[in-house]
Amino acid sequence: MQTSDLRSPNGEHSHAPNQIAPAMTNLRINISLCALLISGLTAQNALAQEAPDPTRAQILEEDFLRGISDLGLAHALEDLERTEPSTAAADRTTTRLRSMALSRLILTSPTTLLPDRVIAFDQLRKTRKSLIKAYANDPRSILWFTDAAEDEFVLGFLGIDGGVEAIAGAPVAEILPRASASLDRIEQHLDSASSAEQTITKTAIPAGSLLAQRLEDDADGRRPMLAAAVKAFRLAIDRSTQSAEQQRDRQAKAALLLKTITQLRSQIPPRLRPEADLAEVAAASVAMQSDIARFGAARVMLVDDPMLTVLTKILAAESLMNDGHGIDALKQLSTLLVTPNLPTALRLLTADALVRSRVFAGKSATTEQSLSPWIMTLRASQPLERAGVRRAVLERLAGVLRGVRIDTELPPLAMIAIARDNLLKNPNSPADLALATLNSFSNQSIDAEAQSTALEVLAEIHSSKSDWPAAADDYRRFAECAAQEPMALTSMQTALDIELALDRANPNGREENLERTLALASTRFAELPSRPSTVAQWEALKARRMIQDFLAQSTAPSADQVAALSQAAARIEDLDRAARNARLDPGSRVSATAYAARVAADFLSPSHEQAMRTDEIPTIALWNTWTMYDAQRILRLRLERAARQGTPPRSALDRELAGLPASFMTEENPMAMTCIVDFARRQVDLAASMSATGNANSIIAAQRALDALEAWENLFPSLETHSTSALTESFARLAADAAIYENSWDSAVARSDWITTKPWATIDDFRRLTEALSSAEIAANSTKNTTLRDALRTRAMASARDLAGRVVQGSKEWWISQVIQMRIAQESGRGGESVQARLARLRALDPALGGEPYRTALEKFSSTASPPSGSL
Amino acid sequence: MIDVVFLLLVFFVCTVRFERNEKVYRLDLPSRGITADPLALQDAPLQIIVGIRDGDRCSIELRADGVRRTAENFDTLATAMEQLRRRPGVADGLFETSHPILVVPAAGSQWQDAVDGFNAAVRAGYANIGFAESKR
Amino acid sequence: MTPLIDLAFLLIVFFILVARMGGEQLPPVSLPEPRHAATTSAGSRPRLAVNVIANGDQTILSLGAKKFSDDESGRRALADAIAQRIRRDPTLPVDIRADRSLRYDKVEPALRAIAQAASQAGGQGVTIRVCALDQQTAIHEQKAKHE
Repeated sequence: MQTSDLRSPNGEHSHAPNQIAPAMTNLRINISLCALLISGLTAQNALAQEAPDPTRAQILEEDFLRGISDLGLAHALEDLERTEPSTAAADRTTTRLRSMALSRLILTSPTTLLPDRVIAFDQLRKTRKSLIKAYANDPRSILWFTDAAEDEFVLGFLGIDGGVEAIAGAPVAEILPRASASLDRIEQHLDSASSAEQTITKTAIPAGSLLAQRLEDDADGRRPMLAAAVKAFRLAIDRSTQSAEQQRDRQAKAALLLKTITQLRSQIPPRLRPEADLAEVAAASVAMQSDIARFGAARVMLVDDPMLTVLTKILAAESLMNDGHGIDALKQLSTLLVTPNLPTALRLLTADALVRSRVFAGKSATTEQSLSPWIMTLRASQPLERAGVRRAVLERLAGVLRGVRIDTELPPLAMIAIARDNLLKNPNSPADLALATLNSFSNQSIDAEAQSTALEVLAEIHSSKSDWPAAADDYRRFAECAAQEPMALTSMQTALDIELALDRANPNGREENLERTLALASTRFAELPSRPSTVAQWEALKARRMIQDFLAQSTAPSADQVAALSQAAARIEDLDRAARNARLDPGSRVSATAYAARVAADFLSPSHEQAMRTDEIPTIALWNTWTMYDAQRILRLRLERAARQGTPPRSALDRELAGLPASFMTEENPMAMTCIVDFARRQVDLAASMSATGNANSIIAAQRALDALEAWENLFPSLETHSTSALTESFARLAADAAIYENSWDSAVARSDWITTKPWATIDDFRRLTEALSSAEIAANSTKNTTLRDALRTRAMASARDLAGRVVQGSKEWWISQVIQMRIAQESGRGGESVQARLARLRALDPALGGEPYRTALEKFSSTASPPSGSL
Repeated sequence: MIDVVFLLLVFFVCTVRFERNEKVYRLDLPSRGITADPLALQDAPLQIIVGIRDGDRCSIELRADGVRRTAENFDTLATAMEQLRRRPGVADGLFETSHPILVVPAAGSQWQDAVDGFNAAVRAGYANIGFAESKR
Repeated sequence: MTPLIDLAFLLIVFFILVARMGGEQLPPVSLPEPRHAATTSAGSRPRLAVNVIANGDQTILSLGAKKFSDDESGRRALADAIAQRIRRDPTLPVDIRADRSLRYDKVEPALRAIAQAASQAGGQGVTIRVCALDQQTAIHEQKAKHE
């Protein structure tokens, strides 16, 4: 799980209604399958009788697509697209129709989360709108308008916008406007359909064709049905207090609607029957509000559908209440609430009704008893859905307790709900009390439920404010205290991702937290998806600590300590290899630290000179390439320590380190040259692109990049290349990782900081280097070193030239480039006259030869030059 | 016998080739895209920029990184170029014998002047001289 | 002695036809004449001479007896002709004889086309030469460098 997926642990944002829609879908699937078959059959018959009907194919195509999306046959859609690509279709509506089918597939899939559902629905609306616009005069647009109304009804009102909740008595005030808006939209679509019907000429439609038939059905069945349903729902939703006369009026209207709906039932497509049922229930509930017996009788026909049964019971209870039988109502609802095996969504609806009834019955809403139905629902929910239910319950509690101060008399969950509401929705209200409440709950361990809920809420709040360090802590503690919940795993992973990203952005900032998180993840969460790399990270962290301790201590590390570091490095390398083989998230790989540990171990050991002459190439090679950041830090620390203590360099390497920067320019190290030139070029790019944006931050960032260039120059050690095969292997590995590594930064937290402080060349440059090295000639050549060296030199020369061409003449980068070009020419035997000539020209350009350290380096060429050998 | 001799004389007279004092410069036009030795220093060419003739004279300029001189005529140009050339025993020259020279005549300049510039470079001892592409 | 004079006339005719009349290849072109020319001798080898002649406003390219116009197609045709000759004899040097008063931007494209054709047909061994007049006798040997 990427850090970008940072959501609160409540990944399932499901409210009760979202569970209803799939239930209805199941119902509809069977019906629509029949419908599909039946329409297929009738189509066959019609075919035998009719004159050619051009619109038939189009309509059947639409039916087919609708069938696919209703049945959830995603693979059928894929096959269709593959065998008959929509781009090649003759009918240009095909692309849009298929896109709509895809959106509907997403919407009708029970596993789609709410945010994705909203997106898919928007897409569906947009596509249909563009379809209608493109074919405004096509008679099919009438059908499409009605389709829009139907989709808005089924997927919108009943699906996303909480229609059922609204009917059953909206527990949270925000639901009502959404549901009403949805109903408005349905009416708009129906109006558009009617006006389209009047404006479009019907003469174009062949009489008796399938299209004509459908239009007729539409006008006679679907549209009136939907219109009636909308009206019924509006009546059902409206719970404002009304006078007795208004109430009677309302009931009369509802009774009429009920009759209409019952009549229309036979004229609507079978797939709309469940919706018709719901409309009937809604209408009936209003019409028979004061006649509970009749309403009860009406229940008989609905006994099959559990949702409708529960809804009816709820509405019946409400009628009872209106009728003055409050106690009976409460009793009924309470019995309903504790029904075993009741789906959580329905239980939630029942709890809503119960709370509302208590309020209606004059009881206070803020007592523990009143709020207990919700809390009970939460406790009765399955572990998998607990996160979603928790969110729903907290919203409801907050809704009912709006305006109530946090009070220790309230149940803990209620207090948490109020605190959450204040922090998320009222940024102006003082946050202290709310935060204090949450913190106090999260810090106690007596009430585990309250603790875990408080932690979850805190994580949500801190995430929403982008306070990532705090969020990471919250997620971690939640994972710790709610370890038995499935959500704990997600929470742990989230905490880990955040901590790692923070660490990468600021490596010295949160080591303790990172360590704690890693320790927890590695030890107690064995099912973490990223477990291998987590353990590797942890080991890497410990190694890093070891290195820093060594560097901080005043005496040289003992042989045992160095050995421990070597072992740690070996462990990390193994883990990293395992992580790489398992192709886990490369952003969490520890190669850099592993190799830094190895390098540090080598350098800290007294016999490092020996070590350098062995074939421990991956370390040294990768130092030059990938680990520069860590290596740089280590070296800088070493230099600082040496400078602080005034200790003389202990070894030849130390002397070299102390003698930088001039030293790097006099050693033969083509790879060093490659790297430094690539790095310089990269910095120039970076600075240029950042300065181009012009704002103050980018210029500062550009400055930092150029400063990093300078600092990096100063620390580059001289090294030798040895065995080629290991080097080639390392580069090949880098090449494989390159693309992944570059794309692994998704976190908005880490990315901007990271980019501006990254001091080394991109992996892309080294991928190209790998390509240069991968020729068979090099691999097979027995004089490996020479060929490799030449290849690297060629690369360095080309980069240096490129650099010189891109920067201002006389700038620091330009001088570096000159020095490097001349060195390469000289060392590969192409020097002599040409180098002298160039030197003379540089002197003519600038007698100071660019100042230090370039002057010293350039002067060396003139003293070592061979006497001119005469012209050719 | 004298007739035959006169005949032969006529024959040889007819076949004498009337050549004047025509000489050549050997020229290798720079070909684009040839990979030079990647590890050698690639130098930007020293440019001889010949201007459009104005009466009897034309402007002559010598240009390279850090060097920019004008010359009055092609003789002074040749002298200047020779002075800039690295010669055995003299170590302060700026350009090697094999340094690429590019004669860059302006589009409206005369061929005579272009060849004069070329000639000056040859006189100065350079060996790698070319003509620049004319830009219309 | 009349029969002998017939033989003599026959011989004259024969030798006249066989002898190469050198003037044919060298139309009057006033070549550039640099002072202190540092040229090399043209040598007596047969050569391929491409002439760039000013003809009023226009420029004409000629190769032997063939004439070409100074535009894309003409240059291409010239290049083809040169390529043909070179393929037959790759050691043939190609000389460019251009009038001294021609504008550079009339001469250079021809020069380029010729060079490209010659090198494509003959590869590295083709010699290309620019012709100039040298009134002086002092010559120093110049060897141009092959790239």
